[in-house]
Amino acid sequence: MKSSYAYYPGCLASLSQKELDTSTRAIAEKLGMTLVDIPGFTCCGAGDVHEARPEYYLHLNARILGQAEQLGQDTLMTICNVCTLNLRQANKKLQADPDLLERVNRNLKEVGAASYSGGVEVRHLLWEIAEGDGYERLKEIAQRPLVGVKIAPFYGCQILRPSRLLGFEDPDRPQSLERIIEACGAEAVDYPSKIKCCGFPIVLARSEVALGELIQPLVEAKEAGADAMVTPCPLCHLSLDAWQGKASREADMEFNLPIFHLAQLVGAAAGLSYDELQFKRHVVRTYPATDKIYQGA
Amino acid sequence: MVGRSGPHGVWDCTRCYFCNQRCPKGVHPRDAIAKVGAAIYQAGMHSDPGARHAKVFVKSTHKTGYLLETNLVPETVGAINAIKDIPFALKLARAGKVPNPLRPHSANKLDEVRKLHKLIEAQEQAAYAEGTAGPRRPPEEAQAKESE
Repeated sequence: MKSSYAYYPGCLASLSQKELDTSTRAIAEKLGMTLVDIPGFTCCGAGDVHEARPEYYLHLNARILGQAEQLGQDTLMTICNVCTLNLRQANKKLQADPDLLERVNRNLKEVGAASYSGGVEVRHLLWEIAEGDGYERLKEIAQRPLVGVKIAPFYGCQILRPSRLLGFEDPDRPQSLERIIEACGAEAVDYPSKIKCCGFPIVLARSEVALGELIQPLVEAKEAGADAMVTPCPLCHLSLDAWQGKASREADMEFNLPIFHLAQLVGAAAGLSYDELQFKRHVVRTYPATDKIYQGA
Repeated sequence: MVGRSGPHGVWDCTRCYFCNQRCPKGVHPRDAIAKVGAAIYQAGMHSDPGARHAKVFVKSTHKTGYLLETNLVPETVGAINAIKDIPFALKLARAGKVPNPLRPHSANKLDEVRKLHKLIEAQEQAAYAEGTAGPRRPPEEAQAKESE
C-alpha cells in the first residue's frame, strides 16, 4: 500500500453510486491512505468508447494519466473494474510504444492538456488491501468483526480478465475478496459464478441475455446461504442491486439479497455507521444483513 | 458488416473477456469483436441499441466529460420503451440513483476534452480521406512486449 494515490472515482461513483465514493474516502482515512483528487478528470469511456472510438478512448485515458502524473503521484487508484481495465489497457499500450506515446502527447499538448511520460501505475482499491501492508492495516482497522455474517464475493469480469492486462491473481481461482471478507470477521461463502459476468454492459441493449447472466450468481449466492454479496465494481453493483427486481420477476424467485460495495464492507468492520456508509442509497433494502452487523441480530 | 451489426452480432458481446482468457491460440476474440464494432460504428451504422448505447458515451464525454446516465435509457431503447420503464426509474430515483438531468455534473477543464475529441475526429477523417485509415498496428517489438 502507498501512502498517497491519485484518486480516480470514475463516473458512477461521482454520480449515481455516490455511496461508493463516500465510503471509499471514509475507509481511506482509517487505512492511512491519502487520496489526491484529480481536478479535471473525465469518464474513461468504458467499454463503449473503447470499442466505438478507440483513438478517442486512448487519448481520454492518456489525459487522465497525465493529470495524475502532474499531481506528482506515481499510482492512480481506481474503485471500478471497468475503469481499471480501460486505464491499464491504455497505459500498457502507451508504455510499450514510444512512437504512439509521442503522437498522443503531441495531441494533448495541442489542446493544452498535461502530457504523460508513462510513469503511472493503475491499481484497484481491492488489490491495495488484499495483500502486503495494506492487508495488515485492514486487519488492524477491522475493530468490529462482522461475526456470523455470511458474505458472497462477486468479482465481476474486468478485475480478473484478461489477466495479461490485470494479472493481480489467478482469474479462475481468485482469493482477494475472500481474504478481505475474512479480515473483516465475516464468513465468505463459495459459489461457482462468483467470477462470471453480471450482464451490465448489455443490460439495456440486450436485456434478456443480461438478465440471464445476472440471475445465475443471485440464485447461487442465495442457495449458498449468503446474507449479502460484496463487489469491487459499481457497475456490477448497479446490475445486482438496481436490476435485482427485474431478475427476480424473470426468474420467478424472491432474492432480497443486499449488495455491498467493497468499501462499505470494510467500513462496517472498521466501525463506520450505517449512515456514514450510506446504505440507504441502495435499491434492495440492506436491513437483514445490516441489522446483523449493527445490532448483532 | 451489416450482418454483424444486428441480432447475434457484435453488440451481443458482454465484454466478459472469457474468450481472450481461454483462447489457446492467443487469438483474443474480444479484441477482434471490438475492431468489428469500431468499423461498424465508424461506418455510421448506429441503428442497433448497442451502437446507440456507445454513442451516448461518446456524446456524453464531449458534452460534460462524464457519462450522462439519464440519457442512456431513452437513447438506447427508445422513448416508448423508456416510458414503459418509468416505474423502474422512480424506484431508482427514490434511492437517490438518478442524477438531475437538468443540471448535469460537468468536468473541470472540459474545453480540453472537447478540443481533443474534435482533433481526433479531424485526424481520423484526414486519414480516411488519404486512404490510410484502419486499425493502427504498433511495431512488432511493442506488440511482443504487450503480450508478455
